Amino acid sequence: MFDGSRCPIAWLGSAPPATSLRALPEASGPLEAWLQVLSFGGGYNTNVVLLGAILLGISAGAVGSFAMLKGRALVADAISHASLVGVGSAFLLQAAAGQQERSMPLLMLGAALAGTCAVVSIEWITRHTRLSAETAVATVSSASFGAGIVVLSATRRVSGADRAGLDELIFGSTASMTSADAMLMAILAVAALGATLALYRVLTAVAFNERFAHARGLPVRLLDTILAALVGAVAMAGLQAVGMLLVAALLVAPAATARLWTTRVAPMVLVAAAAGAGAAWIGASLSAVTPNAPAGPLIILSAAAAFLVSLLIAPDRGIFSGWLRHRQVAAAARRLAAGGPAAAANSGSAPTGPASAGPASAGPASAGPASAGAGPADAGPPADEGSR
Amino acid sequence: MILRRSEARAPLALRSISVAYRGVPALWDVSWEAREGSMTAIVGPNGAGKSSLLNAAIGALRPLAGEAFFWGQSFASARSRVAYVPQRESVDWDFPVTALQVVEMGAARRLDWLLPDWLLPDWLLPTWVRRQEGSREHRAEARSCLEDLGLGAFADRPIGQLSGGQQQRVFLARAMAQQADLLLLDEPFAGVDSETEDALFHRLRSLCDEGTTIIAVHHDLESARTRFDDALLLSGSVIATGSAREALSEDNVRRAFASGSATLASSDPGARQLA
Amino acid sequence: MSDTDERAADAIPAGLHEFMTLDLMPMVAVTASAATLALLGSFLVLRRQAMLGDAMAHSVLPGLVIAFLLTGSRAAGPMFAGATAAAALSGLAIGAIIRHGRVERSAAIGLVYTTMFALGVLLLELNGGANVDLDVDCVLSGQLELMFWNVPSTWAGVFEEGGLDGAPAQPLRLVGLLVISCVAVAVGWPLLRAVAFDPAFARSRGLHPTMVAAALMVLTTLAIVLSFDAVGSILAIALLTCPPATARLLTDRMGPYVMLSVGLGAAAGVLGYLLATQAAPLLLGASVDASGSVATLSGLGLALSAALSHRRRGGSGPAAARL
Repeated sequence: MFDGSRCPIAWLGSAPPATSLRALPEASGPLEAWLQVLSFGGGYNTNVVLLGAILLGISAGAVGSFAMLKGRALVADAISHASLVGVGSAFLLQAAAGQQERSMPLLMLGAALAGTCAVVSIEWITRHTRLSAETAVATVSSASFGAGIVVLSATRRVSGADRAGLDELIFGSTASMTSADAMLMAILAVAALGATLALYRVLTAVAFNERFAHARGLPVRLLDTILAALVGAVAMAGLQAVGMLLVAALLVAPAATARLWTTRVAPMVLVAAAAGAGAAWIGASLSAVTPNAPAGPLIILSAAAAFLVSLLIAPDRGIFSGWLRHRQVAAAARRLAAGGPAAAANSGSAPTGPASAGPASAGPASAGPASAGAGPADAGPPADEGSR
Repeated sequence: MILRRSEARAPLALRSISVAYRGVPALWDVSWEAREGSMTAIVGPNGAGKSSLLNAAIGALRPLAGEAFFWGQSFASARSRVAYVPQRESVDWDFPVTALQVVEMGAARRLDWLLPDWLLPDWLLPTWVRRQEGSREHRAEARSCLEDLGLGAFADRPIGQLSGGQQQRVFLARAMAQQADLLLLDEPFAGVDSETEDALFHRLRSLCDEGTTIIAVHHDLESARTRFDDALLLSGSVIATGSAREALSEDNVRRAFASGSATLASSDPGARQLA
Repeated sequence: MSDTDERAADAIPAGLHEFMTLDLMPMVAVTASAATLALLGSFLVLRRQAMLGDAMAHSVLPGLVIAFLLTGSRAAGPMFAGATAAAALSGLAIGAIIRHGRVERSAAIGLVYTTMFALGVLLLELNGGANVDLDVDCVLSGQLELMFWNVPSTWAGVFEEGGLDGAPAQPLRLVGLLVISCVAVAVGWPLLRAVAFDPAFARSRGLHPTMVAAALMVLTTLAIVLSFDAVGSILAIALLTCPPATARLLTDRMGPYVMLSVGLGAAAGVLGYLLATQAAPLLLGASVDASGSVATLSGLGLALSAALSHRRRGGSGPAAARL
């Protein structure tokens, strides 16, 4: 009754469970084992994978910051969802050519081609139809993922070839990564990071105000393309470690975390890179010591935990500080209101108003750091909204 | 709740209303009463809290403190007598709806919101739940409101195909179809050419002469002085009130625009949309 | 005419009988869920919230998994409760992040749903080997092949009382949900239109835009949960967004828009299923994933209508206002 070939659980278990744990010399408990991996005390392979993941996290944070400032964060989602078609097709071609070993660069090439197609179609839809970018991303990513599922089901019919790595690309698995795979990931990540840093100034200008940048003679469309390519490179790099369904979060979460702590671009990129690196470090090492735990979800959940903590406690933008401010202002407003209509009516004639009526920090005239410190990062996206 | 006599009579009375966004005040201790049968402009720099004031009055925004009364009642009880026209930017103009259908939303009563009349015709209902006016009547009413504003020919056009001025007129027609005693308009003349603006003012003035009270957020000082009866000059808090000419004197306006438009502009989301 | 002749005339032909046994119920399930998702998705696309459908479909997963782990069964009740709780939680989280974090809307949505999905995948895989009933593949593309029907051998048997007893429950449930959704949309039509077009005005008239949105979300969650068997939760997104987006490019009236969207969804369901299970074996030698092909087909429909609408508009620039 249960057709194992069409809905197999098998491939989940088929991944070698926690290769790196076996490489550990002696570890007395899970915590010690984790600390050992965390401090690069695992085997050579584990360390290379861990290092690659950290580099991936750094570049994802940096690239993700610009993608988010430009409002393109979810393009990564479409690229990664679409890459399943490319990976599957490349695999079929490879099998048709009679090659037995899966070759990661070839699969990535297929993924990159498919990702490019996805980005081009999203751009086309937003430019030439009445549909919004949001609708374009949702439709392109889900429909192309459907096509990917079709191709994937076709690869199941191909016998003989080694398709072990294929399914793992969906949710990611550091356990099955070879050090060559990790090198490839690290190279892509470092290249994307390098390009981002080299183009730091122009990307900032474009993210801040597209029209202004255009008026200044910057090639805005070229830079858009470059940014999309960088996002694509990070997505490709993260394909194997994080998986195609989750790699978009690696670009979004660290950037969103950084946005809570600062409103200027340079610190934002730094914080985002640090958050990405930390999440990758913790997630990948946790996965290495836990049987059956894929790295992708663990990395994303670590990044999300960092965001959640920041959302609660960040100064100015945090929920806690917002609540404190609100309470203070509300109390002052209620005191004023309790003064009665007669007292309040007087304030209409004289310019006393806020500064003298409420506590100094609560009056509109001294609106606090929220508005005073509004840097480019703060003003950028809202200013661009009209032009999109 | 003790209401002063003037508060109980005024179409709109605000008492010590304060509004904040994320703990940053946008409106501070605003008390004001509208004069029955007058046209009032709410004027102020970007981020002065003009739109917030209307939103707080109709309960779309919860104020930190203070209350709003419509003829001495809460907005919920006075709802059928008040028509609200939101900002142009708050609506998706590419929406698949015709001009007439938009105006019908204004004429709709109770049961019209559920059960489209083709699904459950009126004659099938017991008398006590019947639509107050037959749906055919309210459709005719909507059409006459559109024709009144010179849009009869556009009734069945998708709203996205109309010009900005025509869209604004459709919104006014919807408010008129509500047959309200108080009109709250949020930037009704934004993105409207001067000819349409004249026509709209003309129509508003005749409504006003029939006894409707009109309160509009307005951005142009000059036309606020000449075309409105009263004005409320805001900049976070009330700067001046009274007749339009007096309240909008050079001196008052300078004070309003000097006192913190720069700081407030970035803290009020409404201001960002306008900018 | 003898008795045996009559029975022979009444018997279902062998080929058709095989189709009914293996393919009819999956096809009904795919079509009904595609139509339901397209109907509910049309309001998401109309309110510029396509990404929210994405978010719902992804973020119900941890709810489903937790409900499954707690009850040990895939009964619809607990699964729906878990999914609704997860969807509501992610909705609240998205709201809080936009309000407090001042993160751009689509980024906030992307952050929340990937997190929820990661949580779901982690829970699934940690409990991996033990569950045959709920695994990651089914999350991706459903379990259509399990819906076969012990068809009686004669037509009379099918239409007699109890003829549908051997039929799987999911397709019938999905058809029921389609009917309920259609009735709900028809009854609330003026309300839905007013709330979607101008929520600020609707609120001033005493309507409750948030309540309407929440009701739509509950229906959508229900549709996603029930469609889980038919198309899986990821491909549900394609059906929530592609048919409405296609329809939106083809018409400027709301009634035709919603109806066209439902029709396109149903058509993608029937054609996609037949292509994957009947045409693909002839062309490729083996059938391919049916729900994937339904999703692909709905995407191709969008591509076609986008190209058409582009040509019709003469390649004009982008519209001023966008969905």
